[in-house]
Formats: sequence, structure tokens, C-alpha cells
Amino acid sequence: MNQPRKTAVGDLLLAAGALIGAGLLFWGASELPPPRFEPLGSAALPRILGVCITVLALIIAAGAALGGKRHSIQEPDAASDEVAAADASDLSAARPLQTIAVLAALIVYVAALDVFRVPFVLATTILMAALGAFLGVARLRTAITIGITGVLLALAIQFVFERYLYVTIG
Amino acid sequence: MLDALLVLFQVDNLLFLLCGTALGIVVGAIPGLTASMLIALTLPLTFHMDPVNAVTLLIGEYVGGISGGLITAILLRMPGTPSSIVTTFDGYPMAQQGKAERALALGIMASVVGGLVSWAFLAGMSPTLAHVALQFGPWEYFALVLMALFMLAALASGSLVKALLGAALGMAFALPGIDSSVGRDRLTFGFDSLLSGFGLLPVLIGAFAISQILREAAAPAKATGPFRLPDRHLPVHVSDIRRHGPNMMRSSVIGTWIGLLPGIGGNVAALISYSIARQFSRNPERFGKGEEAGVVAGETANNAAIGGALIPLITMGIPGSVTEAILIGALTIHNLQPGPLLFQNSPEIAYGIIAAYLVANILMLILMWSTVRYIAAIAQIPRAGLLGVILVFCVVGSFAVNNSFFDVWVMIAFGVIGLCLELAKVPLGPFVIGFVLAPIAEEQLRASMMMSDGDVTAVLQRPFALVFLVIAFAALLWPAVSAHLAKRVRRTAE
Repeated sequence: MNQPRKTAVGDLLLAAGALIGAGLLFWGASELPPPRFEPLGSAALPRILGVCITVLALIIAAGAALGGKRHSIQEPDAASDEVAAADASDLSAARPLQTIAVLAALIVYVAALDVFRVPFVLATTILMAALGAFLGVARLRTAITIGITGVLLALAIQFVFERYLYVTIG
Repeated sequence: MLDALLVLFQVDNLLFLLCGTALGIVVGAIPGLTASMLIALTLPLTFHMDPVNAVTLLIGEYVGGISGGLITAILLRMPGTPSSIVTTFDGYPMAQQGKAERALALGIMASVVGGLVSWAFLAGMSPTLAHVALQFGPWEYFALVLMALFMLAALASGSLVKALLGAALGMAFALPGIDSSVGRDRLTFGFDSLLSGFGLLPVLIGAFAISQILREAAAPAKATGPFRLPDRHLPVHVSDIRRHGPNMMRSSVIGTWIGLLPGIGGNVAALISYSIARQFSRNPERFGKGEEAGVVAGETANNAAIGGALIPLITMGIPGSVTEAILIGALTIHNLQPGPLLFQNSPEIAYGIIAAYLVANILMLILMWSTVRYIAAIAQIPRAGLLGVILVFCVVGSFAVNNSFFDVWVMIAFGVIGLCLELAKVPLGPFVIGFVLAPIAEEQLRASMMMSDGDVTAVLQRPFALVFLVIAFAALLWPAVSAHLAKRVRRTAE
């Protein structure tokens, strides 16, 4: 898929997500009682935002559908392009699997603490080791250092929380 | 102000300011980590602190976080923060020419001058502006919020429509919870956990820290230039002040005024100052090849933008950027309402922020001057370890808000939302500021309508509100107008 097509598909997905959000706002607002002591009431802002989001999403969707044109009204100037080029990560070389792996590790980590009540120190050490593996730590010495960092970090956080805040994590 | 400075020089406050500035410099020097991420992560630690301690810590982190970016920008061509992108244009070529120490020295000196000049504006303008803002009623505040959001969207890079959508979505996420005006739940869809809404801190940590970590994880390891620690003293002379003085003063003023405008930020301030410095230079062809004036212009302006951005924050409670939005969150946690009444109700905080900004700049100079060569080495820490540590802090920070894992799940959800928005090129600034400003906007709009008995035209009798609304709608038209003007100029040139 070429870049303009990718952008158009991304825009359509964004518009679809925004329209779902607007639908939720209208649905939630419809369940609210009408205002009694004031002109606007609780449902006014959800409805206003719902309309705004719908209109903006439709503009984006129309732009994407009509040939994937960019919606930018702003004329790109050389200066902002320079910044954007320097700031933006190199998407062509990005590794989306790493993102998914880190997100999955985070979800498993929080689920381990929240649902399965795994001890904080153990869960944190495993998380650090897993991240080291996902993010491609080639050297064994570095991997061991990251693992030890995980243990020390977890012990330090646990000590501070239990000793001073009287809170047990996990 | 003198009282605030005296309070600031108490051992505990000074220590927090020192820690904050040092931490900010270290984090700012690490590419991928930003001042806003650091402040969001530190926020939970400030719950149990005295408000003055908390404010000094966070202001120190802000100043250090922006300044630290110049180290890796010059030595590795990897800007520690977006504000330091411009510094790479001439700083890195200078380092390649064997003038790394000189570039660092000029960058640090410029940062301090930018900070001090914008402090003068902050200290001079804030009490007066706050006095004016005391006359504002609900219409004025509503119009001000609208102006901030529209300007933020109009000036954000990329599509105006997407920036506006981001702001609207951010506002929508602030709606669930108990509507305090009528004491009834709203948009909770039967989930009890949503009765208190989405917490500010989990949303901020998720949208910024988590989404950034997820992006960093996908980014390929960047190739760094030849790295060499500066091994001599940092050479700067009195004659440099004379030589670069006009550039520093001009860039300071530009940075401060650009900082005042919502949503533009230090990177644009640096870029504009850089462009103007090039126009004023006798040797514009040397820019981009290691010109000292380029480093000076960029670093002066990005630091000056901090002082500028703090002005609307403490005088009107309007955040100029994401970092200020987080600072508003910090003040709110301590039951402090930023705005004109801050000078009356909590002068120690209002003047404390101003004094802390001054002292943080001086501490930044001392710390960076003495430790720059060691800080540069931090950028070499393995990314996996660094991201892991930050991830753990994100989880613990979100959990600590209410000792609840619901907040941690909210953080993850907003991390994913933030990532998706960034992938769809929706700027996160309007999204987060929309989230922060939505309750203020709604409260003020409802109060205005009650006062005017539902008559919207009442706004026409409020001159300040009218001016804000005119600016807001002019900001929306600005991208189209500027594009048209640029086209005409190009046609004329052809």
C-alpha cells in the first residue's frame, strides 16, 4: 500500500472511530433529563460536541474518500517541514511488532498484578527481562544488567510504598 | 516577590528545586524522554508534599527538561527534546569541527539568558494581567477557553480539521462522571468506575508517556554520530555577550511572546528565532554549517518560551502547552485554582512559581556547566532498560492516584488512544488541553447562560469576551489566509 492510500485508509478509520464516539455522546445525552433550573442542562455539551465531532469526522472521511487529499489548509512552509522531518520518527523503518509486544507485556504485567495478584517484585523483574528481549538486547551482560535493574527498582518502589505510603501494589 | 524568594531559599524548597532541575536536565538530555513526560510521572510523588515544594520541584523539572536537550543535540545530533531540534542544525556541525565545548558553552549561556529575560516578562506582566483578569466573568472565561483551543488547533502542525477533532475528542473524554451542577451521573453507561470520570493523571500519563514509549519501541535504533565527551573547560568570554547580545535579546523576546500563545511551543519559537537570526546575519550562508549564532538563537528562544507560557497559566489558568496543562493538574491536586485569584488567595504559590523559575535558571546554569560531560554519557544507556524503568513508573504513578488498578487500565487505554491519534496525525496537544479545559468551558458556559437567562447575545455586551471570540475565529481563518498570502508572494516572485 502506498503512502497516500495508507493515509486515506487511516483517515477513514479515524473518521469511523470519531463517528462511533459521537454516537455514544448522543446516546448518553438522550438518557439525561431535560434542564430544570438552567437554560442548558447536562446534555448540552455532549450534544454540541457530538455535532462538532460528526461534522469534523465527515470532512475527514470526505477528504479521504475523494482521492486521499491532504486536509491541511495550512500551506507547508520550508521551516515547519524541516522541524517535522527532524521530529518525526522514520515510519518506513519503524517496527510495529515491537510496539505490539511492549503493549502486550504491559497488559500482561498489569493483569498479573491486578487479577492474578503476582508479587510486585517478581512481576516487575519478568517485565524488565521481557522488554530487554523484545527490544533486542543482544549482549548477555546488558540483559543481566536490565534484569538486576528490574529487581532493584521493584524493591525500591515496594519499600517506599509500603514503608511511607502504607500501600501494597498488587 | 522578595518573600517568595526568601521562602524559596529555605533548605527544603531549594533542595526540591535542585533535584527537579537536575532530574529535568538528565531526562531532557535523553532523546525520546520529554519534560512533560517527567512532570506527569513525578506528579503522583507530589501528593503528600507541601504545595510550594511540589511547585518548585515541577518548575525545576520543566526548566531542566527543556535545557538538557541541547547536550545530545550538539554531541549526537539527537535532540533530547523537540525544542532542541534547531540546535542540531549548527550545534552538531560545530561538534564535528572540534568545537563541541564552544557549542555547549554558548548553548548553556543562551538558555540562561533566554530564561532570565522571559522571567523579567513573567514577573513584570503577571500581577498586572492577573489584576485585569479579575474583571473577567463567565462569558470572558468561556471565550478565553475557546480562544485557547482554537489557537492551539490552528497553530498545531498539520491539518486544522484533525487538530479541531483532537480538541473535541479530548473534551468529550472529560464528560463522563457526576455532573456537579445537578448531582447526577452522565455518560457512565452503567459503569460505576466511571462515576468519578477519567482521572487527569492516568489520562496524561497514558496519552504522553505510554504512547511515547510505544512509539519509541517501534523506532529503529538511531545511528549516532561520532561521540566524544567534551574534555576541556567550556570556553565562553565576556566578548561573547557583546557579540551575541543582540541575537540573545531578540530571540528572548520572540521566545517569550511565542510562548505566550497557546500551543505553539519552544520548537517553533526556536525555529522562528533561528530564521530571523539568519536574516539579520552578515553570513547567512554559514547557517547550518556550524554558525554560533544559530545555536544561540535556538537555545535562547526555546528557554524563553517557558517563561512566556507560564504567564497565561498563572494569570488566567489557561495552559499554553501540554506541560502547562500538567502543571494545572498539579495545582488542582493541591486544591489550588490557577488564575487571577491565585495572586490573592495563594500569593506564596503564584510568586513561588515566578521565583522558582528564576532560581531554576540559575541552578540549571550551575548544574549544566559542571556536569555536562557526564550527562552526555547518559544518552548511551540501553533503550530497553530505560523504557522498562519508565513503564514501571507509569504503572506505579497511575496506581498511586487512588490506589486503584482501574486508573492503570485507563492509563493503558489512553496510551493506545494517544498512539492511534498520533498515527492518524491528530496532534496530541489539542486533545489533552481539550480534556483539561472542558470542565472549565462547560462550567463557565452554563453560568453565563444562567446569568443571561439563556440569551446568547449577552456576550455582545462583554468587550473582553468579544475580543477573545474575534481572536478565536481569526485564528481559525489564519491557516487559510496565510496559505493564500504565501501563494500570492510566490506568484509575485515568479
